[in-house]
Amino acid sequence: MKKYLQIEYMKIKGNTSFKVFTLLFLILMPIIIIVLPSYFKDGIFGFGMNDSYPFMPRSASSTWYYTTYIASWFSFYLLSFIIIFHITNEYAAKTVRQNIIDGYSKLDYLKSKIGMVVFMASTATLYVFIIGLIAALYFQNNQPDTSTQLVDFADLFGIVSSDMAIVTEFGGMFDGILFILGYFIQVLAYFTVAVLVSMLVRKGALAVLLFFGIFFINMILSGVLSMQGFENIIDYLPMNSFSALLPNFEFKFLIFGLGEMETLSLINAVISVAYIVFFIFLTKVIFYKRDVV
Amino acid sequence: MSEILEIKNLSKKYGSFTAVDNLSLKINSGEVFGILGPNGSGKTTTLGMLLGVINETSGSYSWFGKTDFENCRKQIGSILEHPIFYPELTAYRNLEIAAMIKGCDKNRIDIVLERVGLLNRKMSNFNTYSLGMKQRLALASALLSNPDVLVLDEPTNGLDPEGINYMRELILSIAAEGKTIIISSHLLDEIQKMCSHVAILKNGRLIKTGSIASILSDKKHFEINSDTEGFEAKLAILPFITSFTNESSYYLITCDESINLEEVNKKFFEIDIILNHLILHKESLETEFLNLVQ
Repeated sequence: MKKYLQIEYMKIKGNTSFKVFTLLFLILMPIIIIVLPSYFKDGIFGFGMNDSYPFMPRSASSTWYYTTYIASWFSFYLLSFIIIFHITNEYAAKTVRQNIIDGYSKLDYLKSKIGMVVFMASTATLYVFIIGLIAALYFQNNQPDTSTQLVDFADLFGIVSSDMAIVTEFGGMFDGILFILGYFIQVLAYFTVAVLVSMLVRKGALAVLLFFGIFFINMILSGVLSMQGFENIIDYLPMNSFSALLPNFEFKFLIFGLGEMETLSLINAVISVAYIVFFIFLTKVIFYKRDVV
Repeated sequence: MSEILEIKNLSKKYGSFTAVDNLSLKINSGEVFGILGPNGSGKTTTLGMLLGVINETSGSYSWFGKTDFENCRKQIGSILEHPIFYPELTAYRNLEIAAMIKGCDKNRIDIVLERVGLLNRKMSNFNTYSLGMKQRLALASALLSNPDVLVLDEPTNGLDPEGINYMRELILSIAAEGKTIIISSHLLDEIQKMCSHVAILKNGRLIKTGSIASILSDKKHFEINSDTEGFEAKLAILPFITSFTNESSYYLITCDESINLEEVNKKFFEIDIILNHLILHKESLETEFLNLVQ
């Protein structure tokens, strides 16, 4: 596997989109997760704007959630594109065929790509873990004073309801750490979808369209199933399973802070892993069945 | 001479179109084997199947007597169609990737680059190379693992005369080391100069195979003419003539067996035809090829 990864790195390191997307991921992530909230936590110019920053960590659990949630968007838009363009560029330049002529078997080639996405997902997860840890350490000791402002703000607009949890305690450093596992599975799932669509359509622009198209198809399918009365299986559609690993939150939580955030659903994690295996298998079938052009 | 490659009834279909039709061939160790055919005759598709990048529809092939191609892959160095490398990487980095895939020593990189005359340009990016240099780099890559067999698809395609000559000399020097070389090319003259054996394909079918010498000699062509009345009509009924064409100043006859000039003269004399023009017509592979594929 080390050889595969070395070869993949040699291939990709000169690629401009790889450099740009990776830099954006590495730089933007800490800015959004640590730098901006630390700047906003005491308000802007003394005007108590701390509750207006969307991803303000108010507990360890919310820190890990926000970190992984934001990272998952960046991974989806930046890292998945690296994979799509890396693979489709290989098809465009016919280096896939040359690799096989040079001595790779089809299985070797597939292993190199799967190895690459597992490595990227692991490295991204490690990076996100470090960012999350720094954020948790920082905000544990530098909590914004939110309680009074939040209540005042909520009263002002009359939107406080009894089921809303207003966070007043940061909690243990590793509360909600399971979101990191959720992030890893989710990012790996998106990457395997990226590999699948890239090998399926082989052209960069088409693969990007299909990558988004799958979510759109998943959405339509969810709607159709819902109308047909199959609500109970909607949650188990692939993209819904992946999304549920780091679920979207209601807008009100951006204002009041995340309280009792649902932790990672193990059933969901298992279903997602099953989909990952299925997508890899599907990629293998497609790659083996077709000629390498 | 041991058998390097055996192809048995190999076919490739794309829907209703048959690109390669029931092809059977044998190639022995040490041969420089040419695959000839007009465009679309299935040469590249055949090589693609033999190199594991195109799935065959039916039939089989065995390299070195083994049907498991994966185990033989690294004994074969190849160029398919045109040189393919990572354009933004240097020649050296590209060969480094190829060396890692082939599992061969990186020390070989400088050796093969020197052999193809590119050592002094090894740190230049691939996309700065001329076509001739790209072809030579592709050959260097094919030679990296010091393979027993080289498969070269159109190795001189697009090169200028100097480049063709350089590549030809290079291939002949490699062949002189006893390596088996399989070449497909449109340049029939090049094949005739480089190859010991040839297979001629048309519409995916094998028309003829054998040594170049045997292909050129198992039919003889003579330029003949006579003032005898009804000469052309008589040519049509003579059993030892398989075909003839009127070339305005003479008739070009093809005989289906090896007969010499004297025998041709004698056969005509026996039927009271006096020939006033009789010359052995020297065939090039190109003429023979055109005769076969037309």
